[in-house]
Amino acid sequence: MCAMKAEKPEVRLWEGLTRSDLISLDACTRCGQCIPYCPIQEASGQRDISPPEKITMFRQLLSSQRGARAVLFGQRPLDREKLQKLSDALYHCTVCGVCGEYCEVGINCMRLWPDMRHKMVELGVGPFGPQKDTPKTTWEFKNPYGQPHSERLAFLPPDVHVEKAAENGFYVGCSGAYPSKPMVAGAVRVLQAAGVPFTILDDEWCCGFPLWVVGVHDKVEQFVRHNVDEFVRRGVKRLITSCPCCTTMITGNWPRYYGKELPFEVVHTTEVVADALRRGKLKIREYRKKITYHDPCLLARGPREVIRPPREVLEYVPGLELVEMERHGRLSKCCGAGGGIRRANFKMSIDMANIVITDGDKLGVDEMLIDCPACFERMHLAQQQPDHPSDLPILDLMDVISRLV
Amino acid sequence: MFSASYHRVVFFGVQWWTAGFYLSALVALAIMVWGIWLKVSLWQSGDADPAVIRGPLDQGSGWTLSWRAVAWFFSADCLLALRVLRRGFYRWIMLMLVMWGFLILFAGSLALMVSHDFGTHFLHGVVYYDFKLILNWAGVALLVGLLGQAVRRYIMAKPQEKVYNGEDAFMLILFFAIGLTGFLLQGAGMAAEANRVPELSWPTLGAWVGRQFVAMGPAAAGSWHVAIWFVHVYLALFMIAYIPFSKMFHMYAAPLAAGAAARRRFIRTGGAAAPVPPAGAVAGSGRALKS
Repeated sequence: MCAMKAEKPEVRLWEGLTRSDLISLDACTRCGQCIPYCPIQEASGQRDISPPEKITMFRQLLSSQRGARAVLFGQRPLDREKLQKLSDALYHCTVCGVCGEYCEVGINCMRLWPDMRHKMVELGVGPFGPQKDTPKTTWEFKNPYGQPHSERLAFLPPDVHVEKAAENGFYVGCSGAYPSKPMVAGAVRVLQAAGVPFTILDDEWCCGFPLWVVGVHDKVEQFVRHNVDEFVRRGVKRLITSCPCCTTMITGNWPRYYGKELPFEVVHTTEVVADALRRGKLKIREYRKKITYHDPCLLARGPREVIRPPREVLEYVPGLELVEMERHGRLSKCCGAGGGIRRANFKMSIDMANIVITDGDKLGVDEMLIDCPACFERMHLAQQQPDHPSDLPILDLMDVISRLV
Repeated sequence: MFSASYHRVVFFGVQWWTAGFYLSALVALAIMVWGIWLKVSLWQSGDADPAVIRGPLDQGSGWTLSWRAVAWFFSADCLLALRVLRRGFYRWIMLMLVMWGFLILFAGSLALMVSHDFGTHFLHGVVYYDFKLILNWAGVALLVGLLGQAVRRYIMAKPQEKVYNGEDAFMLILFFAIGLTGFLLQGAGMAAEANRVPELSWPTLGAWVGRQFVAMGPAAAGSWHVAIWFVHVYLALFMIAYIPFSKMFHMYAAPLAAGAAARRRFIRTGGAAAPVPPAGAVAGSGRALKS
């Protein structure tokens, strides 16, 4: 339980929520259809932190400020116990958005949960546990891992040429730059092999996702403006992203903080690579393996819905056999890395990663390919635990492709 | 079977409370409208939804096409609830019985108002017979649907799906009580009102209930009719007033949320169809793409 700070009565729960968010609160019928698919529910079985409970609690708290009784007789102080319960429920969430995919009334949970978390921060009951350090660390180091900013481009292979200025910009992202280097190293190698000249910022900052997702929004605009201005200065017309969190943040939220549409297009690496393969600009050598592909939540369910491009890339690999997981595409399971839960509840996040790895292992494949640095980090960490259930090799898609071009 | 002028006496036995009823109805409607206004003004105080940035792979003209998608979504997913059908037939059929039963009964009440209060008096003879038949079966559908929903929620649901609270149970009981008292009211009226005796032979649940009331005689049935009338009418008026303050408000909010979801998805995928997740396993397991 996170410590309760002094309540700030001036916080209005509806402010900062979108109209869709507010309509969603009334649209939820508590049908419970999202619950069997929630990774937190699968790992913990705690119904009091389920999606319908979160919406019900928020609706009740909102009612004490804007409900009929509040209008007639004045606002009541927020129920502190309920507020704390809501905060715990909101921060025990990976923000993977699968509840929204199964929602029969189409609630956009991937936006609703972070917006609600922002209110918790304003009320002094968020973020949760070690997530509290995220804003300070991210601002100080320009990445949430507390790694030296000067080592951000240490992943860059010496054989890869980076332009000073180019129409294509490559956004590295913190997870790729630090704990999951093979992913972005593979991506830039493949882009070079595809004949796509690109530039990378020497002074790239975090995209702001770790702050946005835990609800601490006050510094996000500075991260966004710094990155956008730097890419514009380098003449970037198209920004190529790699990390699903960054992709979602850049496509879905940067315009919100930038104040207008971005001055460049945003595409994911797999879209660029698939296009290069289609146009014959890239040839891939044989890879005789039976694999499965894990769709990262924020790539498949995020604003760009990058589901087909990675599969298209895999289709161009001679000898490769793809076996789909039972839940894939927009319905894929969460590996437990998202929403800041890996910092707040280590065991729960590892349990979720093990569920995904085990699902893949049951298919009898040689390897599981993924396309997300957070998944990469979490699944490898899960496999380092003493009681891990599977040694299925987990590899990054672009890392594999880079070795075949 | 009955003459062309055959019709029901509105406010039979409670004419003395006609003004009281209209006043009560007005209050209930006013509370409902005020409640809706509170909700809508709350929604309007939210931030505008951020635009979805369109990428180079997006196709179509976005805005125009997206509203076409909203229209499709409203008809398919709100009126026919196809998303629910894809998740399971049982839930879908119970929802359809409740939803359409309720809508038909609501439309019937409006028709009665137009016929009686606006002086059109079109509910006579065969029209009245058909009207009663349709409303009776809509009432049966409502009761069966509510019972089916209660069985699913409290008996059939898996433990992890049981997130229902007191309000969920209260709404089921309230709707069921309104439907049940509707049939009791109809039956007592048939037994009490001399000119409605022909209705006792009609193929309706109300007629069957009426035949049970006949034995007690017209006077006793009349007393029951008045008592049940008050219970039925004030439960219904309470429900009307309570809609914006209860989970029932999803009848307005859910179509809006569903429409917004359709538009959001239509824009970000450039017009691709919005597949609905089926229940349980997803097709595709074991499928190998070309290598």
